Amino acid sequence: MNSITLAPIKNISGSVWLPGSKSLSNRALLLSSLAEGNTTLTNLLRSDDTQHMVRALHQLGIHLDLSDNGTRAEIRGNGGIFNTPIERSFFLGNAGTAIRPLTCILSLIDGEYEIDGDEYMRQRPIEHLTDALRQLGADIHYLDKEGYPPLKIIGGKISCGHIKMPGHISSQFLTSLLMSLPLIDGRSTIEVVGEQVSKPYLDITLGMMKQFGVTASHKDYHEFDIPGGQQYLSPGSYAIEGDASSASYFFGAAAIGGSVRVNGLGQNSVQGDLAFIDIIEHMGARIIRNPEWIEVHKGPLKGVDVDLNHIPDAAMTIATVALFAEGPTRIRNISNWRVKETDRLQAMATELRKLGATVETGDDYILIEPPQEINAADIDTYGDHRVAMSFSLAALGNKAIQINDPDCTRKTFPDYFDVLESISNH
Amino acid sequence: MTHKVNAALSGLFQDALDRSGQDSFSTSFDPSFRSECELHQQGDNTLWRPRLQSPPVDFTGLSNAVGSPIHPDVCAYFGSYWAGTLESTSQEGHVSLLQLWNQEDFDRLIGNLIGHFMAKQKMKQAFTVFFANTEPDSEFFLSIDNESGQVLLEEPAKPPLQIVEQDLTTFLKRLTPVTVATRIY
Repeated sequence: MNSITLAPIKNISGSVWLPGSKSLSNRALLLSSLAEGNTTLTNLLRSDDTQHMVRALHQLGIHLDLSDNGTRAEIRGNGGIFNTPIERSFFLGNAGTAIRPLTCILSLIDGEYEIDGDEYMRQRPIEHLTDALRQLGADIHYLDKEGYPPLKIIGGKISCGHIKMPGHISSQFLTSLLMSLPLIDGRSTIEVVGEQVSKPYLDITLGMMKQFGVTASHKDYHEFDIPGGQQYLSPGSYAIEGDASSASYFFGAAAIGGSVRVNGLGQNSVQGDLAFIDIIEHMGARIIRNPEWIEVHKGPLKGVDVDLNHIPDAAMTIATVALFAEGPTRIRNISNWRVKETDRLQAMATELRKLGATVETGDDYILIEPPQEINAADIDTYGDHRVAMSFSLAALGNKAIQINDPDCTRKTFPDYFDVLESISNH
Repeated sequence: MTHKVNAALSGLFQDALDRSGQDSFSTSFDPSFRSECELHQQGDNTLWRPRLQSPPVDFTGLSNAVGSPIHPDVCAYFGSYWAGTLESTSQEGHVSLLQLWNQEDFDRLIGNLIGHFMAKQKMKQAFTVFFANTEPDSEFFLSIDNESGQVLLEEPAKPPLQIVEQDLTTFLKRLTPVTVATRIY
């Protein structure tokens, strides 16, 4: 099996730049284009998805200039819904974060449009979104297979009203509706039936809309209330955040041994995963918070007893940080670990024991007694990228750590080990 | 192997019906996109049950286009039934199994697979055949390696991320159907 051996890390020092997340980048591009006033976006992600969105916004008549190698955008906002464009066929490749909001937005604009994607997009259903829009009067047709792109949209037919949609649907579908409906006259409501969609994702959407001057509220994520006739307002400049759960590994490493500044995540972050730094602060790390970056400095760490149900991904990093704390750490209410891609609770317990920790697990908790000294170990990752990344921190125990199947990090953070190496001193 | 894929798929459809307590599946009705698997219309929906393809769809055209034989598991998977998408779950997460609704849907699939083949060729990667989507918001999809028959996790325009299972039958056997209402209003 493929593996990577991490040499013992003496300490951590340096800065990390987290690229803006894909979905936040495209949401920011769209809201800035709809807003009154000019907006400067920074830390934009360069990706196919954002390029497709930028092209579509140009097509919709938006003045948008990219600079700094595509990571900065100057956008002249339209001050409301777009005018009918001359070119009305939109090709959005495989950009799910573009096709979904643009389907909603084009439904609001007078004119006849075609939206298509590449061979992958054409295999991904969009029916729940079109069904939702049709409940408000949207006139949308499937040009090929029922429920799938390409679509024909006869825009300008929507009026406010009530939408009922199933809870298991894509959070991107719901986000697209939430961002579009404030622009139509009159109040709209969305009733989500059944199991809930991703709450953190929706919190980020609502937080971002608020930063652009538009409000929508919800009752327990099941009923969304969206006042109509609103206008997005430019915040002037807007720094697109990186993925807070990815940052947790660098914060954790610094808390154990050194210091790091993570750029692309600020104290006003709308991401719930940033609660991770409050936990390591509670454990003894020193934190400096700034609107555009956060620094973490080593502190004498002590074990904690915490409920981390709200940050299940970052909780895994707390488990490895706990190896370096004085006294035991109990992480509670994490049964949701068990429903992730692997049985993370068992996986974490097994691998923490290899490093010398004494570990107890229950239905929904893990209790970690740190060892006197970390053992050198071969860590199995179970194909789970977060196991791979969180256990890389064990290399701060002055022992070599072998991570098996490190390629699983390619899912979310392809150059993770390179970035870690860039701030490691051996 | 062919009959094993077919049997695993049949088992999944039956399991899905047993779990739902219904004797048919329901999806949106489209008068211009009919299928032999449809039973009758109910409001805006059409009720359907998987129906064996006879004769099965023919992959010769795709084989000619890609210049190699198509893996028998691929032919068995798409050549078993006329049916709608089957929603299921695995230990790795949600799996939305693509199925063929009618001959036109097959032609459409082939068109998309040729696009996928060209993308793979450009990246100098081995040809794979996608057969399932994952979570609704995720771009990750599942494919079959046309050479080895392994089940892979992939994302568009990238090399495969990981081997999920050694063969399709084993993978299908560890799926559990889930009831996902396509329409609730």
